[in-house]
Amino acid sequence: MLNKTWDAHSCSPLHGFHENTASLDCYGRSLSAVLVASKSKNIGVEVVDSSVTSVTFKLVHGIYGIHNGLKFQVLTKSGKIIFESFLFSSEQSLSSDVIMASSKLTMLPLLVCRGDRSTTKVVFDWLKTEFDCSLRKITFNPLSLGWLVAMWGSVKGQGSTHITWEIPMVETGIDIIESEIDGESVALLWKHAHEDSTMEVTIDEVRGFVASIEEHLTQHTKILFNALTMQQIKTPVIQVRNDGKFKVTSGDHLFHVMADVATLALEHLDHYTPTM
Amino acid sequence: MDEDRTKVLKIQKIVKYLQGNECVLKSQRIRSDLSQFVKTLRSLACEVGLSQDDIFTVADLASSGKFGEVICNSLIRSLIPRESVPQDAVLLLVSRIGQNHVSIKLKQLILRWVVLVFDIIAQKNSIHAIYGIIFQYIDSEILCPIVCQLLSLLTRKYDVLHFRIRKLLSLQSKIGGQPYLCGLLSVYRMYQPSLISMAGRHNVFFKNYDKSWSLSISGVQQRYGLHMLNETMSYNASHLPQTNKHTPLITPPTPTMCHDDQPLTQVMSGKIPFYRIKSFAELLNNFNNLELTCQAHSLLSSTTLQHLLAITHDRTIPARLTFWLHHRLCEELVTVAGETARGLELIKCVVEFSGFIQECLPVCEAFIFRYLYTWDGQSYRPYILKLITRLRLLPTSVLKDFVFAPLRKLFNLSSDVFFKCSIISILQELLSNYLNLESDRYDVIMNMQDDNAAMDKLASYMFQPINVGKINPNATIFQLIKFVDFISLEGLIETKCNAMLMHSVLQFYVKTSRIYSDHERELFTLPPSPVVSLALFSLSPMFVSTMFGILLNHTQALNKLGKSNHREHYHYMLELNSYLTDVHDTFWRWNAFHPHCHEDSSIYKHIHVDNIGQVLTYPDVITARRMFTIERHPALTVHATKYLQLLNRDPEEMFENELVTEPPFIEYLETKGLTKLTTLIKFLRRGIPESKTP
Repeated sequence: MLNKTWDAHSCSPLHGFHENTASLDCYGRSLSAVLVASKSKNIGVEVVDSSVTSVTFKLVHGIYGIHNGLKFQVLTKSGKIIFESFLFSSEQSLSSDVIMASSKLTMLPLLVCRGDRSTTKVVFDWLKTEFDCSLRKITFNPLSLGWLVAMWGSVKGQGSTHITWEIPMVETGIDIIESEIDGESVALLWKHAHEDSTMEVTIDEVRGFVASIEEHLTQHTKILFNALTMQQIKTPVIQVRNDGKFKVTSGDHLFHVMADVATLALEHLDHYTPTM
Repeated sequence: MDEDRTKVLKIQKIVKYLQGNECVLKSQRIRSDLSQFVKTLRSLACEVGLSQDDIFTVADLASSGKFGEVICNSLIRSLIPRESVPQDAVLLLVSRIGQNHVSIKLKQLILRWVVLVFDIIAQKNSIHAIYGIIFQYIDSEILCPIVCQLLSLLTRKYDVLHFRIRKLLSLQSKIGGQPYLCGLLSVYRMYQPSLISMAGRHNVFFKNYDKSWSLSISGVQQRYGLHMLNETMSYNASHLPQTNKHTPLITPPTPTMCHDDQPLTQVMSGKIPFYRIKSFAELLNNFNNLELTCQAHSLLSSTTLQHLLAITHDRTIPARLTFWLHHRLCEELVTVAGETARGLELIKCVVEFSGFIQECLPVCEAFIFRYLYTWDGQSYRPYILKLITRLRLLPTSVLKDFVFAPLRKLFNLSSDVFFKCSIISILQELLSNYLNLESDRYDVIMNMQDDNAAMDKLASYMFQPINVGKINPNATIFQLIKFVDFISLEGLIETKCNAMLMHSVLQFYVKTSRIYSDHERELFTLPPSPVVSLALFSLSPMFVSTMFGILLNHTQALNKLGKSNHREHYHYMLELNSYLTDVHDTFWRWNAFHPHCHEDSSIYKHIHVDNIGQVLTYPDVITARRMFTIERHPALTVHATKYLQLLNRDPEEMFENELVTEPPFIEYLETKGLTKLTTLIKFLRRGIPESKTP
């Protein structure tokens, strides 16, 4: 999974998903049949000449012990992988626990995938019809990116964090601004913004953290950074773009990082804005 | 009609001439005459169309090789049928295609004509019989597209034969995947899906060549024809869902693909998959054993399925539906500006469903809040307004921030009076909804929360969230009324008391005046004084009458309340008293704009009555004080004059006499529909003080 660029999607709960190996085999067979059928629907002149042989579904166990992830791949005859995808869960769950626990809904909020577009489309359609879920591409807002920087920017000894900002107007002649921050500075800033005692991170703390970075840069360069949108962050562990693509570069903290991204996916999925 | 007859006769004459032998003589004069005749024929055909016999004759002439290319072209183009096309004509033309004396362009034109009038051909049995012959024309390169189009219209199940499919496929491999070939293949595939396994990826298979020609044909048909033709002449195979944009939004119900390994387990569990149910009776019989579809949103597709959705015990279904709706609403409506067809379909479905279950889904609420921020007031207007009327009782802060603030913005910025009126009327509907349904529902839920054992009964309300905070329903309703007060004033000022807006506002106040009498909820609010004065001094008798009615309703409510409760609603009582005193003064006691107006007056507060009194006085005719009595009120002088004219009395009398003391005048007013006015007169004449119970 490392060092490849993935697309992140948020996935609503899957209905009727069974984890035993028999079901997984069944899913694999069904999906490969669907893919084969869709390939033969092309016009008479064949453009693509790879053919799908097998789809494998595998469970991936994470750190929490219970079902955490699912991996499936689409392979061709020659063994080349043309599509692969992972489904991750996060440690939090949705508000209505009663419904979740008592029924057949499985919560795997993050789906990451890579592969060619036609296969991706067929696989998504199959997932939607089979498990009644909705898949939406995640766009990471600057707060989420800031949170990820705060969490993972300060991993020791592994290099510095780069943040890229996008300039919204076209005429200025500059497209992006990149900045590099040392890992220790990030740790220091975050320590000031956030109280160590609690495990919870509030929005205000993240906002304060991001604001402090921006203010520092504004002071030095006289460019108003709080008017720019964050486009990409590159921490030593993970690189994330705001349109949903990300890449994990270090294998040490893989599961934790993916759990964090899964929490972001969960937020993206959650639909209640006003609370009663 | 006569000119039509002359035109028809003219056409017949021309046709006869063409049949004769003189027109083929080579002389110059005859040739120019001929072209003149043909032009006339064409223009007449565009106007009145040709009868069946004429069509046959002209078709025969055109394809017989008697005339030159241009003439034949015009003749074919003038084949516009009035009623229907005889199949013999088509048969004749198609058979002539196989002959040499008809040029290739003419052949193509003939086929185009057949395609255009295909639906108007009277009977098609012999044309079906020559399917094979038409199929042979596919070899010609020029004719191939139009032949494919004709064949796609003509094909029936037994025409789809192996050798034809092979021929088409070989043609496809020779010339590539052309849209018309794919179109024909897709029609074949519709009949015999097992024989063909591919589909073209084109949006439009057959091009529409002759738009103006088809327009003139449809024009004539509309005027004279049998109206068998539908306007757009759509072809059955032209739009197959290709890209994501065209896939249907709500798919029909399908079962899951992956069942348990052993088929026996499925049988043993006794669940019946959905596609086996064929009728409603079977549905009722097998209700407990139904295995529902794997996609919750497909249950929205028909009303029977919606019934199922409403009473199912499976708690995952609402959850799944919520997620799907949230996803789709975001995608189609929030992120896309303006209206789209898919968005329209989705929101129509949502509105219909929420009307069906008489509830507002929480996900719709969240969506409305989000959408109102960026709404332009135009897209999907009726549906969004309908959804707003279904909102549940919410805490006042939520209502204020998420609903009222954007609505107010739109109300003020929109110059469309109709939009303002519709906002006021939906808020009125929301009020009645709150009063009728939601408060009861809220009470039931609050009671249920205290009693844990009754939680299961919550299933009767499908979408209510489990944790509902404490709301004061009266406070919410009160805030709604205040909001409407506020925006109605702003609207009336901005539109300078537009009559339609005034009417909607007054209807709202009629509704609020009946809250206690209809719903027994002790919530009393009076309309603000500017609205009252606008209504009382307006120039329309209906508004005056309605305002009287509102004040009467309030009085009756207060009377019904009982004296013991008066203390709680003291300020309301005072306000009502001051309004009634003002009405009494103005309309009865000749005390309008009296310099010593009663201190508690609401209407005359802050008005310099002396100045106004002087301005309004016309010495020797009328004084300001008397000016607004019932018979002299500007709105009602019309009725007074008419009444006097009816009795042949002098209209000037209305300035002198007291018409209100005459019972016939009161009856006259009642016949004009101003019943509230007369009731108030009687009330005032009795002189009973307003706030005592009878």
